[in-house]
Amino acid sequence: MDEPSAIRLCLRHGDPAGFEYLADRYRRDAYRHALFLLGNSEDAADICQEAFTRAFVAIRQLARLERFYPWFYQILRNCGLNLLARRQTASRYKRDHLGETAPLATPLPSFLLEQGEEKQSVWRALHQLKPSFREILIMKYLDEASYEVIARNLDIPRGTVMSHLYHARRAFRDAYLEEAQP
Amino acid sequence: MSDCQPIRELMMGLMDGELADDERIRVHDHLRRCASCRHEYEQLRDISGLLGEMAPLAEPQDEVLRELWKSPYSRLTRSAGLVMVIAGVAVLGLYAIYEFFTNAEFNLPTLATVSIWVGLAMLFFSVLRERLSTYKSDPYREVER
Repeated sequence: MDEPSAIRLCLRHGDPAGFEYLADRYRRDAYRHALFLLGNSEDAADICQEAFTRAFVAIRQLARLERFYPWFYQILRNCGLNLLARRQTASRYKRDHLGETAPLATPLPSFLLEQGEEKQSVWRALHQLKPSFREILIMKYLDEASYEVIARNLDIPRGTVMSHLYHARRAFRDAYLEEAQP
Repeated sequence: MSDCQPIRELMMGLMDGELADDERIRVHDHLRRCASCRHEYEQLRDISGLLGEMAPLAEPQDEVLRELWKSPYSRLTRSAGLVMVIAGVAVLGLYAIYEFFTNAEFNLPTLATVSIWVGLAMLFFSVLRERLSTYKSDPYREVER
């Protein structure tokens, strides 16, 4: 089976095997994107499950689209940003109403605990960036995606990809240099 | 220096091997002449390149991946169950209100129903008040839900 026939199977026959193929093919990408966007594996798994459920329910929308992942990524992204927004609201509530002043630091994921200081600084710097910077750097460096693929996934023109990458890399450099300071 | 900004964005294309020949020549020419852009290019390339080393670390285990797909069915079942419970409670509550106004009897089920409705109203207004007080400073309010 290939992607177009899996999409056809979902749309014409309502066959879950079509969606199973798509979920199977893209779940690794989805998980990695969610992990780097959110910062921990539990949230990443939860958001992927939520996004796959939403996509499964809304699969008819694929009739107007040619590819699964750019559409699915928008669902995944919205689920992730909603979670980040809820976290932000919770930390603001604690600050305003409960008087907690400590910043809401995201703990390092387990796969980084055994790694050196440099990789931990990279992770911390990445998670100081705003989500839009983080996601474009994830696509560039984790997926090694071309500008064409990034433009398609983020639904922006190719020229804007270059501009966003410039500002994201600058922001990452500044955050990293601050993190890496002794 | 005035022509640096557009070049700096094009530098990303050079870094990533995404430029056409004429653009690549233009950026190389500029980098040869401008020490400031050359420094920026090398620093951004080296420091951002550290991100590439993170990729192999974050490979999920097969059991994590399996969980991602199994769950839509159980989640849909849970959501459907929740909707049915809420719908059933709401219908019972509305029926109790109807009974209260038509028969005006104060018995235990009526009091329990009044308590449920008052509790729900209190929760709703508490959340509403919180949302309104944080709305102006909410950086995520434009996120589509």
